Amino acid sequence: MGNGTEEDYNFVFKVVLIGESGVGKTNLLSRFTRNEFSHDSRTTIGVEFSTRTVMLGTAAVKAQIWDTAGLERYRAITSAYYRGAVGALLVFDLTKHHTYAVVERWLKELYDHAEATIVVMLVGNKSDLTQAREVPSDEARMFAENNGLLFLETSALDSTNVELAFETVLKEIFAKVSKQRQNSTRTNAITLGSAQAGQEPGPGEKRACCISL
Amino acid sequence: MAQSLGEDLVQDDSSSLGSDSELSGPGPYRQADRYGFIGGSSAEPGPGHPPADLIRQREMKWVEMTSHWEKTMSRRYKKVKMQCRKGIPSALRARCWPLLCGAHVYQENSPDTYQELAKAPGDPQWMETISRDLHRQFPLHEMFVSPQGHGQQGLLQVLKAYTLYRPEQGYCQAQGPVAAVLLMHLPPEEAFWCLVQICELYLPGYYGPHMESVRLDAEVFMALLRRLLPRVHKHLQQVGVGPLLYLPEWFLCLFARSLPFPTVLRVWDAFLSEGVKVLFRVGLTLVRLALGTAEQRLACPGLLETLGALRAIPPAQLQEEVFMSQPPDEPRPPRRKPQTRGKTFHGFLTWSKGPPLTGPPRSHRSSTSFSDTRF
Repeated sequence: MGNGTEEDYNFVFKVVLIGESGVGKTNLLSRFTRNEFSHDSRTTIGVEFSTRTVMLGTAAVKAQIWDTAGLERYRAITSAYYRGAVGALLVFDLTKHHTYAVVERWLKELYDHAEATIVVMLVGNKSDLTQAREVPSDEARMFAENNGLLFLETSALDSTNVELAFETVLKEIFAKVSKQRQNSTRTNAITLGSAQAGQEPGPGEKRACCISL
Repeated sequence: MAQSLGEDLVQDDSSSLGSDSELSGPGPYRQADRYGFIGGSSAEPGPGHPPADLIRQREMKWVEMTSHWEKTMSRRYKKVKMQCRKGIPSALRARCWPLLCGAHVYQENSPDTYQELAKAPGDPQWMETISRDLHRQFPLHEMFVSPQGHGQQGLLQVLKAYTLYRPEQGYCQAQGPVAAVLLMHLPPEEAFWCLVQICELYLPGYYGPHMESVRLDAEVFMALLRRLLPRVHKHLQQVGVGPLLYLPEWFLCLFARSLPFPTVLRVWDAFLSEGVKVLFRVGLTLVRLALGTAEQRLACPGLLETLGALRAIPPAQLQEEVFMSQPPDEPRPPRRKPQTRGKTFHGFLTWSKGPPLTGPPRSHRSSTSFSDTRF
């Protein structure tokens, strides 16, 4: 498989970060991929990317995370970003109720543009700001359960649950993929993301196996 | 002139990546560079900048041109254009930008408008979004470090004023960096009218609720790529990199977050004089610098590598003189007989030869109102 480069991986999973502007998507991403946090992280215009490879059992999974702009008008240009995503973190700011109130709209947006089997986690970010909480945990958890979503509260600032959130989503995707593979007599691997249109891998690059659920 | 200068200066790669504050590195205790970026590296006019006597000469030209601006624009626009391409001397940008974009006309015609808008209370919804973004624009620029500083306060005033001036348009986050760069050079009122002109005259439909013109121009950009850089176009298609993955930030922010700051200013000089085509030229040049050779494309077998390459062009190549004197890209020769009706392309950033790509000096979308108000 791999050819000894710094990154060998068995799977590439595309995960999108969505949610209102200012809820902390960019910092969740930088905390997960670079262990960094910035109060002044610049506004996301369009889309940003980052990757991190994690081990799930014996499999190396490369998480390809797309961080999208949250302001409503960007939806006109961001719908293209959902294509091929197998996971999503729908983030709200648990100190600002209005970012939670629109979660349903984001879900619809997601299901309109992504595949129906996408693994979605509802993420209440900024759990470090305990005094300012406006969204009760139970309420959000209930909503997640009723809508078949995973749920966690995180803090990109103090790192609480950030690893866990991404890993849970990746594991869930991995489980789905494994199940799908078992059910399939033939490996049902469809390239996505990096090799979506390119069916001709470059020399020595035939190492990634991207999965579409 | 610019070209020969640029050729001698390739070694100098000390240009500040100050426009991208995250690349400038930390440094609250460090001095600001000559553009105001704390810890930026453009502290002195180094070999990357024209010699002092040349700057002086250009300043004199600009003083002369701006002393009777309307006449200059109506009779000697070509000269203005060429001078803009060479770069407006930094001492004169504050005077020239409002003149170039026509903001001064609006300001003269509505002398009280900005003050009224600045005093009026803003729509709470927009105020909240704008306030949340204030500290996220160029946080390492000395003007924008402090929440109470004139940078962030000016930004709040100007962006709020725009949402009151055009309530149906509201606020788009990409206006933040644009307004911030304007405020680095202009007082809030001038900056406001320049922002109005950029949003309504130069790039109508870019920042509105549906951003339809960005999507349209992304398609146009792809068509240009197909024609001018066909191999790169094919590569981008193969790896699934559509223009919406990289172009919105470039165009919406007028490259303010994507190029070293001295180069940003040069691009803006040309943009304010010639309009949106400059954005296309710069964008095409960036794509070519990142993916123009077969080796470069081979090193980018996938989507992420390709997008990474578009964001990781060596700073030396983006240094202002080097970048602004990029050689022309020739379209592929026609397969059969030469076409006589098609336009000839003379490169993206080098304009010295051949006829201009477009005729009148105006934004590609605006028509009558442009000439009415500007010239």
